[in-house]
Amino acid sequence: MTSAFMSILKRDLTLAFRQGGGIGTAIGFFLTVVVLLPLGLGPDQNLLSRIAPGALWIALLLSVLLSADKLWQADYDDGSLEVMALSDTPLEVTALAKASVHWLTSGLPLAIAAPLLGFLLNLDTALVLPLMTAMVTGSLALSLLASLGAAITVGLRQGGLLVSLLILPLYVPVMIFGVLSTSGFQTSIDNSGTSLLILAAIVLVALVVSPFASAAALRSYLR
Amino acid sequence: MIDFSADHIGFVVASYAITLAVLGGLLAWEFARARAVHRRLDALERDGLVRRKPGEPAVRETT
Amino acid sequence: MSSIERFANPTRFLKLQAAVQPWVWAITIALFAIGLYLGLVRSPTDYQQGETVRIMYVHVPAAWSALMVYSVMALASIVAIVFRHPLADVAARAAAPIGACFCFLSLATGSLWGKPMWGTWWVWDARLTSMFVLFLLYLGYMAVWQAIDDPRRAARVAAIVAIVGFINVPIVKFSVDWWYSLHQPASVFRMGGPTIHKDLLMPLLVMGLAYTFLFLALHLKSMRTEIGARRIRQAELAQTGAIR
Repeated sequence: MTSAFMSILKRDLTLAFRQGGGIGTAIGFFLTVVVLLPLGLGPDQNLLSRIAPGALWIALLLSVLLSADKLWQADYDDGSLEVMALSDTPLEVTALAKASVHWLTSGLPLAIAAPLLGFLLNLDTALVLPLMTAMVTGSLALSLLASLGAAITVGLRQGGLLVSLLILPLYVPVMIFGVLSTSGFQTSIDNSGTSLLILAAIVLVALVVSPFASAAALRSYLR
Repeated sequence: MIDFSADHIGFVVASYAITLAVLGGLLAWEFARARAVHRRLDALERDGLVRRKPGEPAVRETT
Repeated sequence: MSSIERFANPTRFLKLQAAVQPWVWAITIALFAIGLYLGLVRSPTDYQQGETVRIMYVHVPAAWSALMVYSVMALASIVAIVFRHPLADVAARAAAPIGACFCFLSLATGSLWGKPMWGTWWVWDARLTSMFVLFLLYLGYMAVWQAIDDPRRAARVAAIVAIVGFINVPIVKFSVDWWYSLHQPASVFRMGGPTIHKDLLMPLLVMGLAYTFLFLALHLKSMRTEIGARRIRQAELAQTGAIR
């Protein structure tokens, strides 16, 4: 089972790096959102600094979501998914592997890049490290949930919008605790540590729910 | 008894009105849908395309 | 063969439904009549809120039933996933539009209550936000049924969506509670609670029951329609030779 997990991981990582594109596009999208924000809100440095963590989180949610849209599509179209479902490896393990690949190729790079892009939004330097920690943790949940959304809509012609409608409500807790664990000390009580722990708990819940739900959704499309 | 000259009575009337409108709309939609489905089902039954009783073959051959 | 099995229980359900339906409608109408009489005629005004308190009799039951309907939907989805019972699919699908309407009403009347009481249409507190998320979940659930053509496949996928959403709602409630208490420590709410006066509580409970029975009536009716729609679909597929 571990070897099956590793081989899917290796295969998809190879594919992702050969085709390139994916990671670059996601970061490009992220950058665009970050550039659009000050243009829409005005160049007030204090305002930007205040909203920077939240804005970066929203940009991260959207980028992860958009890049997840086609997570299962290629394998579904060319029939590899059917082979994976018929193999001895449980589909749940495959789902976990695919979500991990998505995290490694888009969640993680974005989470590392985001705080650096925060300088464009006049992000407080002291916040860069907490923000990065929270984003690396939280993006794991984002990728897991995004892969669930992509699994739910894999056989549909127009799944993109539906994924957003289904998955964004699930992102609410991730974003709240993500923002709180970075900007906790801007409010009256500093509990950024607790928030980070709860964020990790949400990641664990997603880690349990996502593979099973994704596999169940995929099976209903394959039958 | 409700006093129609009280402060903010507009909000009270509006909330009852919107409740009436939405629930009324829901009822109307539900009944319209039921009517349409059952009319179609009756038509199919007349043509012998839908069985009346359970236990018969699911769908009869048509020519 | 399997289709006889599939229809055996729906047929029994249809018999039961036909017998029960008129009574459920009668009880619903009676409960609404009593509830509205108690709420609009008999109940006194609140010393702080004045007449505005009467919004409670349509707002709170709508919120209660929106949550109840989602629970029914999630429960039916679990039954559908675990036991593959087709009637459970029908039950879950039929509940969604009704719940969405209740949810919308609780948001709309809540806004209309909030404006005179708190001076704003909307507050991002836990209750309102989780209700809003619940509304989004209803929309997403119905969108899944819309988007997938094959009803059996749609049922499976929709059931997964409903169950995952069911896990999500309490987490959202908890997280917004946390978030809101940090941003605004002093709560502006003084709503309901067990200290509510008896004269206000009675109409509220009757209206809550009325909404529950309205849901029951609409749900039974809608399930009957849904079963009919499935038979039509099967007949039409057979006619075109898609299945035999």
